[in-house]
Amino acid sequence: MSAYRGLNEGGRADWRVLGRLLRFMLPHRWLFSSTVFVLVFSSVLAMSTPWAVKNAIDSGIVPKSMSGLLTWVSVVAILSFVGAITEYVRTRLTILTGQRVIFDVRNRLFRHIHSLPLRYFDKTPVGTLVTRVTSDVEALAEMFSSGVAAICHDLLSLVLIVAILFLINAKLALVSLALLPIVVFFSLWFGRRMRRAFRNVRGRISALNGFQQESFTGVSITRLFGREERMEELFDERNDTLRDAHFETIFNFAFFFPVIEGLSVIARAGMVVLAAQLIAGGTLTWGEFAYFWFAMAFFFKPIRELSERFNILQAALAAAERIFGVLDSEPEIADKESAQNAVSLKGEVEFDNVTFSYTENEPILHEISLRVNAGETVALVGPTGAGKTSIISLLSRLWDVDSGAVRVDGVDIRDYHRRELRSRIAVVMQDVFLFAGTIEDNIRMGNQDLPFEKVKEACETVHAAKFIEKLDGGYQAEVRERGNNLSVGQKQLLAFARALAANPDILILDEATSSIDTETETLIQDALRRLIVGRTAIVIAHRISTIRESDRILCLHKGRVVESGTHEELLAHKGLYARLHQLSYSSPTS
Amino acid sequence: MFARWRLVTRYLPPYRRILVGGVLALILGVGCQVVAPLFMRDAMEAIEVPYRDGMPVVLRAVVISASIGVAISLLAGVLAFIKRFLIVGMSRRVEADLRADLFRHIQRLPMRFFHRTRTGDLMSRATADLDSARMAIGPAIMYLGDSILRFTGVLIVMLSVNAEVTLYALAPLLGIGAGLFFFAPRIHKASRAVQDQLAEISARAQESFAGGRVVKTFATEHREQEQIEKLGSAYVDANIRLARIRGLTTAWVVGMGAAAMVLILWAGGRQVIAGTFDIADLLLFNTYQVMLVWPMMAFGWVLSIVQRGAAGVDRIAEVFERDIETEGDDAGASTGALSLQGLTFAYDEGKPVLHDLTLEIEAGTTLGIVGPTGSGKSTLVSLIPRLFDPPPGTLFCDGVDVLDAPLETLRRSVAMVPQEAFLFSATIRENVAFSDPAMDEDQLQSAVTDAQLASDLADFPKGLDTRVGERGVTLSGGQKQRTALARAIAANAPILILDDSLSAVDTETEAAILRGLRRVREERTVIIVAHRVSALRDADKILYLRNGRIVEQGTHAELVEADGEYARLARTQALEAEIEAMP
Repeated sequence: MSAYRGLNEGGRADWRVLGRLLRFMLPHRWLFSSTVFVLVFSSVLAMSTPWAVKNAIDSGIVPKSMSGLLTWVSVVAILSFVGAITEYVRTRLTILTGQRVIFDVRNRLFRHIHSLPLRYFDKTPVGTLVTRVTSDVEALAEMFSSGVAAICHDLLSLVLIVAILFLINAKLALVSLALLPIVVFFSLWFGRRMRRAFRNVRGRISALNGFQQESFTGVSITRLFGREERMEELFDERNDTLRDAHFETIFNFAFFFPVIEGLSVIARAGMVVLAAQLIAGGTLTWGEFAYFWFAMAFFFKPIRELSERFNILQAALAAAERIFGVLDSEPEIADKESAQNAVSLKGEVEFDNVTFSYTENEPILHEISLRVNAGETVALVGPTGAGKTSIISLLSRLWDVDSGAVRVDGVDIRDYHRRELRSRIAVVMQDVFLFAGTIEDNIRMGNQDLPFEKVKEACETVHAAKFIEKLDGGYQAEVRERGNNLSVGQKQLLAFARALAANPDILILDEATSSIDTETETLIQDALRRLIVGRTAIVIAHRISTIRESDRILCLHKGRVVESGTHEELLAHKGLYARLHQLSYSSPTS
Repeated sequence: MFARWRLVTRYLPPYRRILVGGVLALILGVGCQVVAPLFMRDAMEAIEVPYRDGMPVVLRAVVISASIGVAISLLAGVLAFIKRFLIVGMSRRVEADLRADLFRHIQRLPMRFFHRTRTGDLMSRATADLDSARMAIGPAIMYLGDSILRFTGVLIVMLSVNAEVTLYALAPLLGIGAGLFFFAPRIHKASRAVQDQLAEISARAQESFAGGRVVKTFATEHREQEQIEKLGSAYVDANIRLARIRGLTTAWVVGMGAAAMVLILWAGGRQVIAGTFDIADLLLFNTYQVMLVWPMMAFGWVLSIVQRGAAGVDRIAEVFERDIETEGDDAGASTGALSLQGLTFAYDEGKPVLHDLTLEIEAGTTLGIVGPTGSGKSTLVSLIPRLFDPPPGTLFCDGVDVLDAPLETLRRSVAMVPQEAFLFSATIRENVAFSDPAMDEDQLQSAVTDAQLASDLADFPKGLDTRVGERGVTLSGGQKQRTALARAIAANAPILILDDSLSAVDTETEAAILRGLRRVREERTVIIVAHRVSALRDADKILYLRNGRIVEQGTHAELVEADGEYARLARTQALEAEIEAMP
């Protein structure tokens, strides 16, 4: 899959991605330019302060001039003050830039994901998609705020410092910077080690957390089977390897900082020794010496951080690649130019010689032809895997046919605007999906034009009003974690209300198989009767009463319509339907 | 205040040597760090010594002092390495120990606890809270010790060199400390807000993608987009607030550090002109000033870590304070006979779910339980393996109160297929053989066969060794239930409980499963909770529960004869079947 392409084992990213990424910055170029400007300004400022100190020494302290000292100390003070303000502006600007860019990226990504075909959703774990719009996008923010900009800042500072030092005294500069290559090399080496160690730790943390999460969720199973001790052993293994993995990072950290510190002390001592000769020889002033002294504190820091910045950049590029992987995935086939509006449909459905497969060469539906007249209720029955679900998915154009055509009111559904077609068709799925929000939100499904009376009316019609009004808050009651606070039957009724509120021309219902108590069952059956009045309904039926009440039954087997007719006709036919029927109603022991 | 830290500090004794070593390295290391710049100063002062004995002598003095300075700095580096490795390493060990105990404790908490606590909440205690507690005992100790020692050491040396310049330098540095006390908690609060906002985006995206099909079919993409954009811009705002505080903090630290430098330059410079200070001292003071910035920042930072750590420890302590399940010790061989004597049970005080149930279930018999949703069927069966504790003297297994039986013995004698089939992310084999990983192949195979799982396995890439869950095959609801059933059959326990556990399998398979269970039924006590009369017809006794009471009991024939609710249910279902069966 393209989402994972281009990232080789070392986690090295393709630098070309950077160019593509910069395009996201275009709309914010002014913000970005001012950030760069502030960064340059702050680099220059950082170099100027020691220069003022140098003058304070050379024109104030050494010639014993109080006025010279006062002047230059004032300059130092002003530069420092401006420097502090610049720091503030810099922090705000860099973060702001990063945030603005990723806000756009996230929105674009989110929109794109929802335009992807269902195929994509089916094979991509939800967690992966969530990671794309959160952690991966986050990594980009890091790059825009502390990656690119900071690297520019650090490099610029380094170049400036080196240039000035050479201008003051080339020989002393050479000695001061002699160890620099070692520091750079060591930093990069350390960065690689650290990255590896961190990756290791992260992997183990997620293994441990995954294990803990699962143990807590499945605690009753562990308990029922008396496996606590085994679980503890498994836990200890993961816990111990995580602890040991931490030691590696601790070792690296403990090692790195003292080494860099040691190198900088050696460089500084070398500088002092040479400076002693130069001052004695009269070719270096005390002020210039002080400038070197201050500057050396400056250039070790950016180098130390350089490796970390590289890290951020690489992580960001890897994240960007994953993001582009999603953005490059083909969205659902666009509507045709000539696509027509589906304002109001009669609801005549026709499958004409439809063949369909999820994976190539494994057709689920074989040359199916069927017709549902406007206003008719048709029950689809058949064993698992017969292709019932595929038929309803094709009708709402979640998938497209391989060959043949699906027509609504005589028009190929590929000639309708997809979203309009879908809004004329309501689907009630077995597993009712409720969103966090209020009951009302879940019935409206985003249709703010619907008056509240209509919402209420829909609920009353399908017998949902009674339990809703009993809830704390009524229609404004919050639906918690996928409706955990509602029973299966209640969720079913809500889904009916939702479908009714959408006032579709075609209703598709995948009837719930799970057992519901008789009282609610009666309500649901009656609600269903009211729901299908005046519209075409296609029901994947599991309940005998539903099947009996439908105008026609289509019996599917292995992707073909094998029988079609009324309940009585099909029973008399003594074919597959009769057998299915017998199975569900005879006692298994008789 | 200190009482709660006992929770963490009790893990320290085994590592006291490490800790002592770390603290020693810390003290010596700071000493070296404080002293080293003095030699650099001496080196610079040697430059100032006027030519008396000619150039080489001066140079030698410079080289000697500088070398000593370097040597001491390198020693400080070695000690810093030892310090960090020992102290932070120790904090990781303590963390691992604490985490292991926490896991063990949670594993043994009563189900009632899990009933009321969300997994996410437990996870955050076991991860984030644990880490904040660790930060408080490891890095916080280290930085605090380091800062106090360094501050004191540097101050003493500076005062001994020049009191006046020291006092000038000190004022802005103390300002850094004071500022951090003010900023650190605010930064923490602002970054928490950022984290929370990100968590909301994540939750919203999770839901939106999980409901991707619904979003498509109702064509409500625009609403999803609006919501994510709203959360997104709130996130930007939260980040900007954080940036403001961070920016202020950085500016404050940088500004105060610079102020200290300016004051040193001014006060020191005047004294150099007056002849009571020299340029080398000036640069020495500058070095010390830089050295003091971090300790000043650390004070504020450590305070914030310790506060967070205390909150983390509190939240962990709450879990430890919960009592684990109680153990009985009246072990007896289990034959599978059960007895209920006036059993009343409530999850919440005053709202009983089961009322005064009295019943004998003989070993080797099959009991069917039927009744409307909410009648207490699942609650009743969950009391048998003590997932929840019944009141004393109400539920007996082989004549022993379940509260008096050792938990392991009790649970080993009950195998249950819960309503929701939970499988671990492991192979199917591991899941089926969960009760005993060393189970022999025959036992495993016959369980798989009885649960009608065998033919599905043939379709899986690696058969029994197929992984389920994340990074593995996704099983259908029916397949999950049958795997859970195989797991329970394989446990070979005297009591087998099916808690409405065939809801997701189709009728054909259900019939096959019930046939397969015949063999099992002959030798075990079986309790079947079901909605369909057909699944219970063969039971030796059937209970009809409503609102937590036994309304009717008897065999299928007896109940039908009694002409009560069960009979009505059976009649409806049978009648339907009969009518439908007619041509």
